[in-house]
Amino acid sequence: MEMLASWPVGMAVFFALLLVGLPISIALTAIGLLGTVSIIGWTPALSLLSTTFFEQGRNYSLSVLPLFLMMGNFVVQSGIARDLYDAAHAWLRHRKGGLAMATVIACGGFSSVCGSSMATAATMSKIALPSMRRFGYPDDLSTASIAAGGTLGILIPPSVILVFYGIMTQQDIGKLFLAGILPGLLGVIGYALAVSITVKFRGFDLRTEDKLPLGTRLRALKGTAGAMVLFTFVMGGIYLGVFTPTESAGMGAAGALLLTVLSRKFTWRATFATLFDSAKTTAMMFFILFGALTFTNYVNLSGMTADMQAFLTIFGDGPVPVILTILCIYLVLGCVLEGLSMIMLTVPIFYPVVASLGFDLIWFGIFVVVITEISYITPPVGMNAFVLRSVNRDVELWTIFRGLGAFVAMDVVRIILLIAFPGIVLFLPSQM
Amino acid sequence: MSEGTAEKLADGPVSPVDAGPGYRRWPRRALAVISGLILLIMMALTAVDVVGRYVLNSPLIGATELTELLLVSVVFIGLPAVCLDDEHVTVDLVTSALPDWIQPFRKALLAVITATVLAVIAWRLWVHADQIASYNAVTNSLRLPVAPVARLCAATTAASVLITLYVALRDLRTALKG
Repeated sequence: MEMLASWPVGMAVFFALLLVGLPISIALTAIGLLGTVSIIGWTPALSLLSTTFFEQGRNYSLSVLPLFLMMGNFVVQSGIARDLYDAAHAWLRHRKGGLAMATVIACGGFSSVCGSSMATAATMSKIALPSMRRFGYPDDLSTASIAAGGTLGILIPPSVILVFYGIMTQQDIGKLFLAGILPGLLGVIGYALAVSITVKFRGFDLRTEDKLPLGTRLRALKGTAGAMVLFTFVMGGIYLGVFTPTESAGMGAAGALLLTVLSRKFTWRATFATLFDSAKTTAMMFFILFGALTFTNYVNLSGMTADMQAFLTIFGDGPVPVILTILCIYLVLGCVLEGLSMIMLTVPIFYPVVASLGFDLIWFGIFVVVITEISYITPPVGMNAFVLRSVNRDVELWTIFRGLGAFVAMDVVRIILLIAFPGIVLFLPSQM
Repeated sequence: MSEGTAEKLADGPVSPVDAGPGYRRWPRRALAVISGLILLIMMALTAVDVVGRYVLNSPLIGATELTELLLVSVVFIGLPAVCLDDEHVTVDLVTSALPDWIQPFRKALLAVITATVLAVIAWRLWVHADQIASYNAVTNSLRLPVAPVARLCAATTAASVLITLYVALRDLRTALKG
């Protein structure tokens, strides 16, 4: 027990528990609690535990989370993804690699009403993959474009991960959402470039279709109206200060429910299934959060933050060496942890250090999310590749990762751009 | 997250209310309906509040505190459902490489740890509820008592302990028979 008072021991036990397969929420809570006990004793540690689980559970600003999850799940139920893909397809079908580009753009559009990367990748793969296969697209290109496009779900607002980041660092969720828009668009452009680079350099001879007349193309845009109205309503409301994030999430969920009714996808059975799914995801994520908060108590008491500051400035305390050190830590952690868990574990440890070094915490949030996007599409954990694999059993995991090479390269370029030009992140929130 | 979760996501929201093999239907049904209703009420509360404020110039009194109590309820009612469907986030990088015969025993052992941690949480939530009740904590404007909600959370966490052990035992028995 006394051994746990030293944080490297606690960290080691934590990762050992994680690797044998203990749920991350339970591992965080167990080590967080026992570590706290080893430093301040049972009575205060146990009373901290109940405060964390109950009082954080009824933290009003967290109610934004189930509401945005509901909105995203209703949007999946409404079948809007098909309309988005059809519209992008109509505009790009005559280009080489056009279907893969259409996939990326449709993913971007879908992300603007859905806050989860896995949901975006899973939904899009049902729609985009069959049509790319019909036109002879190789599996590595087509699955990679969906897996990469799906990562935009956590960057383009609304974003579940940015909500948690905002709560943990006490940053304005509305500002974080606005900050995600331009880097998200940059991501869409980068992935579309990755498609055309792949097509050119690997010499794919892809079949294209005839160019559609302008009128038909314009008519195809009609299907995207639902998503556009919903996004404008939710984000516009936050931007103009008409809604708080929680209110916009509630209105967004109601709007998405209305969309399922309008698209005739509403049945009580499907709706309760959607709601049940949202409730389970809410519980699952909140228990990771509670665990992370318990763990953070331990981290703060154990003096890890000070040690971490010394460690992060090991190559100098200028912004670039520190950010590159953090980048390396995330790339290593991303090999073990899934995105949300990684953020909940690391952000409480890093953000005081980063803030004291003079970084903007809004910028840092977007930076962390873009790194998480990369971890979603790189081996060995690459969640989105796993999603694609489990939906399409006939595609090898390795095929997907091979196709993702060009997309990951574009993400690296994007990270460098965000470090070099922080204005890409900070321009929109500064207008609020 | 396991591959099963991803499949469910891809198949859309049709499958989740179906009971899996070996499950009785009513517990999932009950959890689905209760948590679903709470979420719908949370959604309606914010919508009515916003419309009331901008259109009718009269915001809903107590919407915030109701939302807070509903939020913590949906989190803790969702917990038994997560345990029932084994949807915790885990890292399976190493464990997926282990031989098959180890898996049921590994899972049983982990279920014991999980159940222990949840039991401590349930116990502390109950103590916390006692404390809240002892000074009659109520919400700001509607004067709703907070302690019963804390007791509900303690009860669902306790139920999750039992569910976790039940699921582990059932899977272990199936594995030993098969």
